[in-house]
Amino acid sequence: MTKENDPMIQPMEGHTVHRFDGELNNLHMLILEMGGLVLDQVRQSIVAVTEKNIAAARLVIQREPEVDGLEVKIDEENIIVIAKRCPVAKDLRITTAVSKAVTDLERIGDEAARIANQALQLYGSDTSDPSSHLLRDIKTMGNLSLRMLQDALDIFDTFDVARARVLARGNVELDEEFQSSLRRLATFVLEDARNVGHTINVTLIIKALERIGEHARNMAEYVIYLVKGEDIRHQTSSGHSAP
Amino acid sequence: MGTVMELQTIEKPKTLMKTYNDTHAEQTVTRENNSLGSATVHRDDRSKTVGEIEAKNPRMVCRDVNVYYGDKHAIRDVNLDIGKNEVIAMIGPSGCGKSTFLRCLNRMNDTIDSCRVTGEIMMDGEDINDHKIDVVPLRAQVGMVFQKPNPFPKTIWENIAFGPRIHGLANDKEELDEIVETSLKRAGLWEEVKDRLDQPGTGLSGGQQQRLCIARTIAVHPEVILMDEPCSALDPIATAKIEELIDELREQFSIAIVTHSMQQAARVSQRTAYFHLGDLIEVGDTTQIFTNPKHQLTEDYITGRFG
Repeated sequence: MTKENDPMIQPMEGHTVHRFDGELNNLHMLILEMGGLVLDQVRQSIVAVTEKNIAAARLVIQREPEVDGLEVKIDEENIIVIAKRCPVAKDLRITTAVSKAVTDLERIGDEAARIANQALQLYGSDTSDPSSHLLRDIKTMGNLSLRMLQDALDIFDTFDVARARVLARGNVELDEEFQSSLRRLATFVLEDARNVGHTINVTLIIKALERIGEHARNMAEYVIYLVKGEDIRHQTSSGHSAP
Repeated sequence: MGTVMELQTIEKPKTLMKTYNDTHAEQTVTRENNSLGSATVHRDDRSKTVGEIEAKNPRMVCRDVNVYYGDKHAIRDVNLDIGKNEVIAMIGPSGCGKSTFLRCLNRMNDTIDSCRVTGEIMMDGEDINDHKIDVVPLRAQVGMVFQKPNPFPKTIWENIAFGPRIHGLANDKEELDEIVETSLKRAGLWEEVKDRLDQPGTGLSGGQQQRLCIARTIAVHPEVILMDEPCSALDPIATAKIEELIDELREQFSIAIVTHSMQQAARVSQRTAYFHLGDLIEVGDTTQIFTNPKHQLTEDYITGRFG
């Protein structure tokens, strides 16, 4: 039979050399570990902004080097697997997907740190705190990108291609939300020019959240590549209809 | 060397068959549990080759080739083209029939009494198994390089000159000298042996001997070169030299190579054919086979998941 009608196979089990299974599983686990940390970084950074939680912001900034450390560690172990095992076929796609996922996770970590820094600026200056109207869009965008990231990590955990396809296609919502947030922020500035400082901070934050959603979407694409060998990048940009 | 080798090829499949059935049974179970019940491995499915069996510019066209050693059905319904100016690698576990198939291409199986070949192997519009075909010119046209370098116990010069002389490709010693020189040059051996052509070929290193055998093969102007694990007795440097040579020879010849080294198949070939227990499972571009094989058995084999 061909692999076309072979929905779910465990991609990392069953090598004659069992240690190879172990090494690939280790890479998978490390990605999930890094994903867990990054997910919490994003969550805390959103809490920092929306709930004026300075401690959360500090925590995110303080943990940023941990994320970077995991990136270096995973890349190192991945290169050892490639050098030692010369992976082919699905094994090769696993190492490639891991290598790409690591970059996206690290970028998500950077965005979380950026949001945390913006939070410190928003609440650290002498001016009054931003109004709840301004923060509303951060909550919506935050929930959306957080959900996408959570989804991406679940998909990377289970290698669920069906869910990966949904996530990879379904960035319309995030994009629309981002665009309408920008329009609303523009009206705040038009209404009262004194809002401009906060508006810039908030704009940078929602841009960071939009990037996080995009990185999550990339992770879903890697899972499709890993399991199916299909490269669907750059085929689902914008203007596509829902399935 | 025929009989000893063949005995091994005949004996091996029995034990492998058992292994396959065991793995096969397990796979069936896991697939049924994992999937929606639609995807199970059936024995019959293996007889259908996945991928493109045809070459764009075929030199040899094999259709419905079956090989029997006595009662043993060693190759089942293999359809495959050998393309011009390309290297096709044949891979698969021991006893899968890849060497047997390779040997069909210049009728090396004729030497085994119990061996019977059916089906068509077409070259220049003629079936090479036709009784009209004389095997001596056929084997010059379709040359072969073996696993262990097997130079004649004669001088280096004699090793190369022997073939052209019996095939009447040269009129005098001068012409023979020229053939010897060009063949050795094309095999990348000339610089190393030009000052000792009168010394025995068996005195060369393993890698040099193998290049001598390749030079001997190309001295009789073949069109197809069959190689049966040509590097398995060589060190990595000698292997690299042979692989470099294969890549150069591709411009003039069609090459079919059997190898147990997956990395070698990936490095030297443009097309790869995967054999499994006498069936041709999958054929495709080498890059596709090694990044995204279509058949589960191919995937399992190249990633080292059974056997």
